[in-house]
Amino acid sequence: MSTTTERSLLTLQQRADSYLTDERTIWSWLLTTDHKRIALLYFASITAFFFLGGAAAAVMRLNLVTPEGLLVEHEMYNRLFTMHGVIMVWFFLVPAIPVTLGNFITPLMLGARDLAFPRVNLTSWYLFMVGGVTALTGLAAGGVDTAWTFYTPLSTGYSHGWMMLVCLGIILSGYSSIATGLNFIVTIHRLRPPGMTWYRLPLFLWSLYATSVIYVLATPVLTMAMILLMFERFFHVGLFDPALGGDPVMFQHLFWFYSHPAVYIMILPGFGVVSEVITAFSRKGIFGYKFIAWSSVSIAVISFFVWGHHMFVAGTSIYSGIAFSLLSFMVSVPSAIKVFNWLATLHKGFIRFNAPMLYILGFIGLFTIGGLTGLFVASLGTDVHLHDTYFVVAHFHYIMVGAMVSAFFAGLHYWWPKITGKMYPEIWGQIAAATIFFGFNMTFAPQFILGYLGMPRRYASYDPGYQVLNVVSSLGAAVLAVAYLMPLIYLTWSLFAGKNAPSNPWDATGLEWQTQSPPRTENFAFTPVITGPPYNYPRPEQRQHV
Amino acid sequence: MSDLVPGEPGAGGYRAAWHPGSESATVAEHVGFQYAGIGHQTGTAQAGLWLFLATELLFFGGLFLLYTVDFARHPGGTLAASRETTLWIGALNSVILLCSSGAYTYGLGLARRGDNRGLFRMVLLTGTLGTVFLLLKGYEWYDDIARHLFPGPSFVLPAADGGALFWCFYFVATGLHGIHMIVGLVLLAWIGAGVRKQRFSPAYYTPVEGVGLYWSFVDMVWITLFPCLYLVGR
Amino acid sequence: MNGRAVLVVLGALFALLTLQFGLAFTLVPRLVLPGVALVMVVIVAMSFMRLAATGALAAVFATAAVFWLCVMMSLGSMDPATRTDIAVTQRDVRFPNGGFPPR
Repeated sequence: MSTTTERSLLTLQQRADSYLTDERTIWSWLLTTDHKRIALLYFASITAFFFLGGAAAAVMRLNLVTPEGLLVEHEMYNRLFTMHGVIMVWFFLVPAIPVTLGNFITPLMLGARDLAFPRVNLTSWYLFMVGGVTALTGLAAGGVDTAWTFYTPLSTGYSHGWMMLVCLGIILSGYSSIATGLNFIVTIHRLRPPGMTWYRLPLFLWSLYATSVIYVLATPVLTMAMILLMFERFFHVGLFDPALGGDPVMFQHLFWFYSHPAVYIMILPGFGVVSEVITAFSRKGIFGYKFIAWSSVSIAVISFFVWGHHMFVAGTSIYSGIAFSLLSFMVSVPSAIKVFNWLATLHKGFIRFNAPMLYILGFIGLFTIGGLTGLFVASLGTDVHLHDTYFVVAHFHYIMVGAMVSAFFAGLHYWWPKITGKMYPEIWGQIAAATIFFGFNMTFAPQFILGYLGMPRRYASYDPGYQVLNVVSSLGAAVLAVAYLMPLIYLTWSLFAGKNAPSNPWDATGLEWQTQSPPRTENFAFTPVITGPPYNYPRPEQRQHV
Repeated sequence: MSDLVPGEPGAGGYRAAWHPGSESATVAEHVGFQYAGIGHQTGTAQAGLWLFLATELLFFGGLFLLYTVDFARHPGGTLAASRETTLWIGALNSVILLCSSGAYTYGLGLARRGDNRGLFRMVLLTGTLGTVFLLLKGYEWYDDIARHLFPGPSFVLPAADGGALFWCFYFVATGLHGIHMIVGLVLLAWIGAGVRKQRFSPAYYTPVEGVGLYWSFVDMVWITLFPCLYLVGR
Repeated sequence: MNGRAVLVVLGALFALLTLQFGLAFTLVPRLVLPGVALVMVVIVAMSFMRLAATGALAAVFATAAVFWLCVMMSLGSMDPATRTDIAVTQRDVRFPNGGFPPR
């Protein structure tokens, strides 16, 4: 392509003035208000948390290769799955895409120079870090054995652990989420460029908006649940104490009022990434833009109406069970609408199987499986048998890990050239995507069967009849672990030795590709004016093939 | 493909941020570079503050849900327990908070007209009223605990029929409200310091407005809490 | 707001507070008391906080917050309200139809 001289001139020019090189002191990073640098700070944090939570899972899966439990005693196992859940939920999945890709890409997609409240953005990172360190201290000092759901009265009265620290860490990370969500909502409302009506917004921003609505409205209720938990634990009296006439199930109501919408926090940004990647790598406009946009919003709204489906066997009334079951079936409809629209987008597309596209194709399949199995647990009769078995574990891991982590990697690879100015090695990206897909299915598909056969979750040991499937699952986990290390290695490698990236390596639409890779600190030299819809690729019939 | 043309002044109501336009130098320094002007930033800050108050509403809402459920389950116990609250302190505190909200709003009006001296006096008045509220509250807590109203082994009412639940709710709710009041006092001190340093003018007083919104919201929480705690049992 | 407007609103709020205080000692249903508080809250929002004058977006946020609060309160109390309570202390009670409580 270019000669060596030309390439190094390009290097000089690109490297000269970007947000990475503008200021190089440690304080310019720790006190930055640049959304791009904050995104990188967050990247580092959640990567660390991901591997910590993964380490806990590794020990658990290793423990489960024998029926008696190979490695750890029951009390330790309880601490492990609590640690895995707490870290993965609050310190990886809930922040994941919004704080990294969202922070980085949102102003770029809007042609803006930063988010609405940059200092709030930096504060949210510090809250996240302080919360994370606090929770980790509690988990390391002796751990918590109540599972990430902290049900009362175990958590308030009987558990011997470091609950107060972990709860405090969660409260702080909750304020971090609220700050991020507030920032995104206000930014999308107020910092759109001239001509960018709501229906010209990239779909990534619609889904980030929906995610932020949940961040802002659900998290305060979790904060209250945690505060009441801490109060009762500290004073040995509280609102959930049956001896005083209180109701432990009310804790579950407050907890799941947040935690169910929270799982939609985890998946909605993934939907946004899918819409971006699928259009870019099929070189085709999205099918059903308004349907996908409004389905994100309706998922966010309806998600607040279904929390009771986690409590069907907790002692809640049958009438409330019926209502929540019906509403839970309704919430699956918008997700299905999205899947159909994405498939229609692929039809007659000019598909390129780059790594982001492989991850997204995997997403669509794994998400469909995860979503459909959710219906089994949403229906009252089957849930009585499936609740607290490995079926539920497999269901939510198909969505949270199979779909969501794939979407995260898709977005990471898709926007990697923009963020770092380097291209990752494509062949390794494709190998990693395939290995993750294979390893993931090997780990979690057997768990559907295990759950159906009756193996309970959160048990360190099990009936010997379940061993074969458990061994398959653990082997799959080993493959998955290796597969997750691959991107860590080759993406880091690309930072030092990767090819320099042009401003639009994928030839995609979108304002973020109109600026250099990596962008300058102020993103754009002037505010763009939008005159057309997003994803305006040429129609299939008008495509010119060389 | 979207056309990239330099944004023209007035295009869609946005102006390019690098043309400071008609703002004076002192105001322009407050405008972030992602905004098209002071009006854009002020409107955005107001929207952001109301969104933050929305989160606070959901926060206290969870507590009120528990109160409602417990009242419905144990009406007798709740009413009996509510009778033990110190009504005169609650009523006086209500009056104090309403006056403080009014004082701050008046101060905000003065800020809009550029009367910084008057604004400072109102901020001082609001802060003083808020401090009196907290002192009365502190005394009330001390008295409640002395009368064995904190649920526990020495709880004075029969514990199981909702009395203990009510008093748990009482201490949690007034405690959280008190923490919000303390934060409010800190914010008032910050505004006061800003007024002394001549930071605010009729062209820029967004932080003053923001703290006013927060203070009024904390007042709204107390307005709702007062009948639930002090009046139901009478 | 100018001084006179503030005093007018304060007067209305004090009047409502007095009304609420007075009603507490009568036999009105207890729900009325927080109801009066709700009216006071709306007055504060519209006057001291100038919700109507601030702009559409702020009003949208406030309305959404109230809507979601109502969802939480209603769906959240649906379960406690519809449970069939079985008292734990009645351990020795035997029911005629094989151990299940009567409908």
